[in-house]
Amino acid sequence: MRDRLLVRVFLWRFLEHDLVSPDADRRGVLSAVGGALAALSLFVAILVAAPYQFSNDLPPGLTALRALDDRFLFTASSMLVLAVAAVIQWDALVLDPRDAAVLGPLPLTRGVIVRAKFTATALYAVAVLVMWNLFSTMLRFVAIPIGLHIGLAGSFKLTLAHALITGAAGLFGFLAVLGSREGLFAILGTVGFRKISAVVQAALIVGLTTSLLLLPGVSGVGEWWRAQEAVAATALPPSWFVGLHETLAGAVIDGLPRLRPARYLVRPEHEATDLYRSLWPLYHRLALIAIFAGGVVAIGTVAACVWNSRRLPSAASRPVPSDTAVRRGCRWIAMHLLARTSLQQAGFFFTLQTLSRRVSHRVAIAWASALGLALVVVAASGSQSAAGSGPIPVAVLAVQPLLVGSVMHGFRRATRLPSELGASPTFSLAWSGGGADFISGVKRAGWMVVVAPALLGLATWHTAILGPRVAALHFGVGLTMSAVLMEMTFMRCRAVPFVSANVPAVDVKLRVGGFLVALVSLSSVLACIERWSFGAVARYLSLVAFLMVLGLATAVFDRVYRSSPLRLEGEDEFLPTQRLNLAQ
Amino acid sequence: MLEARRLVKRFFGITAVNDVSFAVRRGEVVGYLGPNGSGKSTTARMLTGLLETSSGEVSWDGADISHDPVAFHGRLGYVPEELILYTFLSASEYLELVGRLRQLPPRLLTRKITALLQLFGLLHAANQDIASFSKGMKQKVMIIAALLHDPDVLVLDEPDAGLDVTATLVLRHLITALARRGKAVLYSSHVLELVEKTCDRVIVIHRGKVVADDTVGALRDLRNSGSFEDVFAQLVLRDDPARTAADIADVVVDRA
Repeated sequence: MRDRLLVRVFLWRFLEHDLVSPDADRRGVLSAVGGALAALSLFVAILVAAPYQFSNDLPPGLTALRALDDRFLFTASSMLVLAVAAVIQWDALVLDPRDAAVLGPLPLTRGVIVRAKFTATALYAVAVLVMWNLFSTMLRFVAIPIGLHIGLAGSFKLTLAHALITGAAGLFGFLAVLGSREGLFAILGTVGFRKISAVVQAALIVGLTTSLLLLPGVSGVGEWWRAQEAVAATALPPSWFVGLHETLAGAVIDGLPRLRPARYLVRPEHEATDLYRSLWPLYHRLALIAIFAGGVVAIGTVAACVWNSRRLPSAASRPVPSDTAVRRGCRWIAMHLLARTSLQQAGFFFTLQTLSRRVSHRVAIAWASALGLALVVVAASGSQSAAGSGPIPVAVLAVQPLLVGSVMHGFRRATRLPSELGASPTFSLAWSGGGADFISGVKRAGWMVVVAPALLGLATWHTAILGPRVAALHFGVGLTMSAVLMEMTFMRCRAVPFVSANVPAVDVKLRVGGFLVALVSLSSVLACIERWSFGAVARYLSLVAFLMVLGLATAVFDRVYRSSPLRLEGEDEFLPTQRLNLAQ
Repeated sequence: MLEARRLVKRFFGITAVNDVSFAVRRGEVVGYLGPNGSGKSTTARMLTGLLETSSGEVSWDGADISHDPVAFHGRLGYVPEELILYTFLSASEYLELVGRLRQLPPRLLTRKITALLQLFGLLHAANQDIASFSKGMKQKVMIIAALLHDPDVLVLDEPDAGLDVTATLVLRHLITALARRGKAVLYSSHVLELVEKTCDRVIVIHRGKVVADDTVGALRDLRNSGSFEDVFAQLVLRDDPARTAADIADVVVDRA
């Protein structure tokens, strides 16, 4: 009874997240997130299964080869979704100092608290695992052409194997993140871990989300494995579990009798069967790697968790930064060149402090960066071969506005999240007007820490593939374009950044879809214009001048618009409930 | 002069503050007392403009503060009952944020922050996260933030909560010193001894209504009591504290 109560408390703690409003209905949030996850997985499962229903005459060899792509998609997505689920709950995966402070004085042994915490973490992982993999497992038997008669036992075997490998891959992803976190904690200690924790979390979010977004583009796994002579297969963890699946249930389809297919399929079927069967040794090797790696990750994670649970955690404050010459120099530059008025400095430094120290803000930017990186990879991979000769591919130039637009969107989203809701009255009390100056400081800080790194990173890549001259010209356009975008991002902003208590509700379908369409279209148009401008100096200067005038006009318009005071509290936002005040 | 006229605040139909009126003149320290839930903090929040009144008006030097709350906040120093601190900032970062938002000149701001942190015994922890501070240390940061801009009016809602003996004594003398320099001070506290020694006048509120508004001496004479504590007890206590304490102890030791 006591243990179950503790587990329930810890499970609810997973919803006490910076990304969830403290006033939100937790059950509602849970339903919405779970529903979204399940709906997306159902969509993917149907999308994968549907083509088989329209390919009744697909013979076994081609089916088995095509199924490799599906297995890769499902194992990789399960692994990545679970890993992302673990990264989002980075600090809640294990006991934190608050748990120790609340539960420590109660007559509970350390073992009871630790056990309850890890039970809650395991239940959380299993819940996400089931929500993500349930529909793809249930619909496994549908993803087979009707013309292939695998029988009830075959269907059952395929379903079971699918459940096993997606489950194992998901748990592998979750445990890998948990194990990395606990391993770093064990090695670095409380203070050392705190120094790097935020960076590791942000990097993992960017890396995992980018991989997840790029996953739908993966195809031809069998051909790819053969071409790379098993190196690629053994290097990618999802491949290990695909190998395990084939070892367990590959024979169900491959072992079907080969009837003569339609004439146009004879040769492809023959080649597919040869290719699929030539990979059998690789499947066995990959299966062994999967079992070995799974065991190592599980044992390593358990060992690290047990080691770190020897005593309840204690609070460790952020290490006090030493006052070095570099630090003083940066501060001087910031105060004398970047943000000169008091309000600009308030906005500038508060933005830097919030972005570097608040999880929800880092996550907002990390997700947007991941989206941008995915777009960059898609755009760049299609154009790399063409970059060597002839005109510069539009996609290479479009990469810059795609990435800058994405990170800018993430930055805007971050500024709309309150830094610390309970402390927002600080602004109400100390506010002395001059919202434009404050926002100007916010914009400059955002440009420095969010936009400039993206531009510089791309400039390095562009220098390598386009040469220094074109890369420099392109960088110049990027600079002015990012300034325009930053002005536009805050043009209609009336709420004080990082302060407003009203976390905007996002219509994901509409906004993300609309944003992506607009971003890709505008980036392509700008890239075309830019390529045209590289033909003559006058054209290039005209483009840069136009962007500068556009930025300036936006800033002037914004100043005029901002003559109405900024809103510190959301006085005219809609409340979730309406009070009738009948008793008054 | 800070003036509250017929302040009323209702929450979901329940009246928390009912027809409260008083004035705090420049150079005057007014004590604002009452038991828990009597409406002290609600009054303080209405006086600062952070909470809208259901009816009534707050004015500073004759002007309704709701007409220009930003200007009023520029002259107000407020230490709220609940700590409103960005705990991921260090003490100096938080004070810099407040000072910059108030548009204090940078040199003056730096000088004041250093001096006040030093005087409040916080300089050694100036660069530590506020999250790692004790309640008393956080309270000191709140007090410094309220004083940074040399306000004309101070609303102090239990500023002594969590402070150690030395800091409490400093605070007591600080309030008197600030009043001598012409500040209007409204001081809410549960430490009756401090209020008695610090305040020129005392307002006692009970269940949202003002039940006494006079000097400490006059209240003592009026109630014919030897100590201010007895006066307060007569005004707001309905039960015998000793009897209540004995009842609590009985519940605590109940194991059946």
